[in-house]
Amino acid sequence: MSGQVLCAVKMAPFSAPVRLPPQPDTRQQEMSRQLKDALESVIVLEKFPKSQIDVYVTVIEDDGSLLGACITAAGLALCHANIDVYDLVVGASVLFRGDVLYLDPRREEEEVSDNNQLTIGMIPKHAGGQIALMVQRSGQVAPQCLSECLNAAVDLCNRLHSLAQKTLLVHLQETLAHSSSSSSSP
Amino acid sequence: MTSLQVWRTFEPDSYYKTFLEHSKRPDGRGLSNFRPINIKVGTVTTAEGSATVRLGHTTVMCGIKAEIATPTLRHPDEGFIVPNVELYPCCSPMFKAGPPGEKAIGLSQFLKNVITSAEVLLPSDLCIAPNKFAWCLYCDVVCLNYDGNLYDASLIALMAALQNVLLPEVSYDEESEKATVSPERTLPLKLKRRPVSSTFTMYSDSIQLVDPTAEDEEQGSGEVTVVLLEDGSLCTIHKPGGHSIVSDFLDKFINLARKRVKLVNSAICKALAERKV
Amino acid sequence: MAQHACELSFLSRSDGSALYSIGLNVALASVNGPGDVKVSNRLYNRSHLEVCYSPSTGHSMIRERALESIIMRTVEQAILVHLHPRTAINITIQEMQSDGLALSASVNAACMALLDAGIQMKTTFAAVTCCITPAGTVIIDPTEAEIQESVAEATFVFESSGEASVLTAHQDGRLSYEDFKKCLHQCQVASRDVFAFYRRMTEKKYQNEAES
Repeated sequence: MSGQVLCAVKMAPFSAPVRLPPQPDTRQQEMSRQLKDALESVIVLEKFPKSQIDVYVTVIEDDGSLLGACITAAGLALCHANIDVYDLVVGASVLFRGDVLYLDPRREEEEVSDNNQLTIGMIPKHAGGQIALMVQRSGQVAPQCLSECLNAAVDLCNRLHSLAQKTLLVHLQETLAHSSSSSSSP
Repeated sequence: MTSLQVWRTFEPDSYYKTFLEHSKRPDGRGLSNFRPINIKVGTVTTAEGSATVRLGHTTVMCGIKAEIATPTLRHPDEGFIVPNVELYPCCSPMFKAGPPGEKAIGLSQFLKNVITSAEVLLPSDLCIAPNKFAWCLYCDVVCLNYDGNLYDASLIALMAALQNVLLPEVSYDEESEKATVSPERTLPLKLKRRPVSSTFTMYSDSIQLVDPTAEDEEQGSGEVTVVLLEDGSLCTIHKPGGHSIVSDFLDKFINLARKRVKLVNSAICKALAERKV
Repeated sequence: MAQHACELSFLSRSDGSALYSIGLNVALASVNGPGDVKVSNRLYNRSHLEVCYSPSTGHSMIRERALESIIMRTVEQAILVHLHPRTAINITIQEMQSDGLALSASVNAACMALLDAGIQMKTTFAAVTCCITPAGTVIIDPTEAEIQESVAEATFVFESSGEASVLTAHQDGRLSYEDFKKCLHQCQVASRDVFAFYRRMTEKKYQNEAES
């Protein structure tokens, strides 16, 4: 039996404009499920037989593109925890209203009615770039418009990926520098 | 793994005891030294008031949301302050997902006790119109990283966040019985007192540790929390079981805690001033 | 001091029980164990303690859960938990009537119920509540009305062994440290009467058993 992933996204009660009750609402449950779907296809589960990987995300403040941010945070945390993944997973969100595209929308932009949002989670450096999760919500969309949005989101993911990679690298260098300095002077 | 790490993993008790024999703790502190405090206010824009506090590695965040509610029949001219502590599994593997555990509930009740017994804020100040409208302040404390001493950290965060709150002015029209909120005009809360807590872990009859880390709490047997006001008077003593103490040690705790009050309150003031600049 | 009264083995089906009253405050405690434990609560080196507190009216809320936690931490120190690894000891406390001293009455009821169940303890323990009036006098075992008028109230749980060892302390309201020490001292003096009362009740129980 290969490994299992447990995901829980918790939003702090003060993270939204209206206070959220401490019990998880449907939105948090939905996000937890979507995050789980994304991570299940990213983690090399065969390497963790009979075990479970718990991923907990705490949202401190919501200013739009929440699911994308959760995916990126979870991806970085997985790498920090030395868990085998196919590639560093990053998430991005694109909003479109009429002909206008909003990359990485803010909360006020999300809250306006008659808009469409596309969130993807992808691993850009695995097999030429693979999408792990794609969520389109609220509204109808023409196929050609969707592909345009997808391109924009993929482009955003690529940019995020290089930033995330750099973050990991800096962290690694700092850790190495710290451990070499502490081991040289016992 | 270095030999020190091996020792810590396989013989945690003897590892820890050896430090105490040299009057030191594994993090390098003496037995009666506090950890450095780092406070930032106004860290969450979605809340009316907020603060992030770091006590060593312990990080807590307090966000205060204000809502307009109807006062109770018993106290028609009083608002509400509802402290709530959330310990998500993110901050430590000690905590599980689901309904709040024993620790979170104990902390929420502790914060509530401190607010009422110190009279931090008069509930009548939160009233907008008697019997009709009153402010309800939800003070949610979220732990981001757990490394012991949540009592002190959450009270500091709560007090700093309360001092950061800006409530919009509300005018009440008696004839139409309607309240109008004017968000452009905001007022801070009138805080009467500023309590500060100090927590000690009891290790044995003669050894007490100030400002415990998670390791200290695990190795020790029970905590004492004393809450003092600016003038040095007692506001709350909370000792839920644990190793028994005699009153001589209480003297020692109170003396240490008195110094702490000034230190913490000036740190909060500094953080608030930094925000205003 | 208010009148203390206690009836041991009040319930027939539990391993030990006690109905304890201080003035108008009545609490009923029942102890079961050491017995079966859920796998998730099983501890390899000691017995798991569970305290359940139900209020006289309404549901168990934050206040009750916090009380449970305080009682559990107190009892944990007295019981020799390491004697019974991989077991659970259940303590259920039902608040029957409350007049400001719910915590004291339930802690004392728990102690008597544990004695009745014959669970090994390193010490017995007794809770005493006091409040201090604006004039500065200390009232032992106050009523709800007296607490409302007082500046501060405090509850202490003392061990019977050792010198004035405080197991649990809980104080609310503003007072100076000198006043606090005065409260502590008077409560400690009062606790001796409670321990004497415990002794009388236990002696009576075993006398009755010997006769029957």
